[in-house]
Amino acid sequence: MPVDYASLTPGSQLASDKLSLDDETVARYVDAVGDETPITADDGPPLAPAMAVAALSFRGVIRALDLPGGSLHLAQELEFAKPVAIGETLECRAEVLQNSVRRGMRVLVVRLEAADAQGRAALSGKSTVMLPVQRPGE
Amino acid sequence: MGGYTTQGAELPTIERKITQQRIERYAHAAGDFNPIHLDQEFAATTQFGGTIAHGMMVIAFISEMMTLAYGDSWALAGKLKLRLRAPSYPGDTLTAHGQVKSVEEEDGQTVIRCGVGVKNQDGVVVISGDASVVAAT
Repeated sequence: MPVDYASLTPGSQLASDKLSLDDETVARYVDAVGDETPITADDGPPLAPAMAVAALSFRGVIRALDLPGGSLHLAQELEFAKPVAIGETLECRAEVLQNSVRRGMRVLVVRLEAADAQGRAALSGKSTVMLPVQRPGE
Repeated sequence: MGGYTTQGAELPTIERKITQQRIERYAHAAGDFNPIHLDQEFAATTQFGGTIAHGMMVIAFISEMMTLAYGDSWALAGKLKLRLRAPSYPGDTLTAHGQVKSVEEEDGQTVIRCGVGVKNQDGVVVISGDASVVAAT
């Protein structure tokens, strides 16, 4: 079912899901972006690249918003709060911060928070996207 | 932490070639299958005239640069604030770059603020913004 973007209001929950940062998921990400920084830690388990944690945490939002072609990613803020080890599972929650229409385009601001299994914040992010305003019947 | 703790220091650059294959691999890895990235016919009808790379993939080059410069400190307390200014196309060669703007003591911590960005081979600014990190003690 198409997303009714007009119905999204500040506080609307967009996604709440678990992200498993297993070996394969992280390896596929690292391969795609060509990240060459070593996945090592002085002690303890190997760590996932910070941006792997961020990009993968946004999967639930991307699925939930299902943005139409022609949408634009305008701005992005990220705050990393702790290193995340490969093998960890994160709880990712996203909600709408702003929803406005300017000159025929809708601007959505979404906040994402990811926490580890102990509830400690791992990262937060704010994404601003612009999408065409739906016409009745679309 | 190397020499990236003084005002004016240039961060190590990251250069990456964008290909349609890389974009497709990223779509699968990140779960973002928007047709602007994958569907040539659709993308040709948009203002971009062709497929473009995911913004988050290009942002990854900045994060990789910050990890190179600051190691684990980046994942521990790194912050990014970016504007995506222009699309990146298959065939583009992108360079992530940055420079230390300030080093300040705040609440007993040393906070390093950098201007960061990504440019393409023609010098077009694709992404620009700020990054900060708390220096390891």
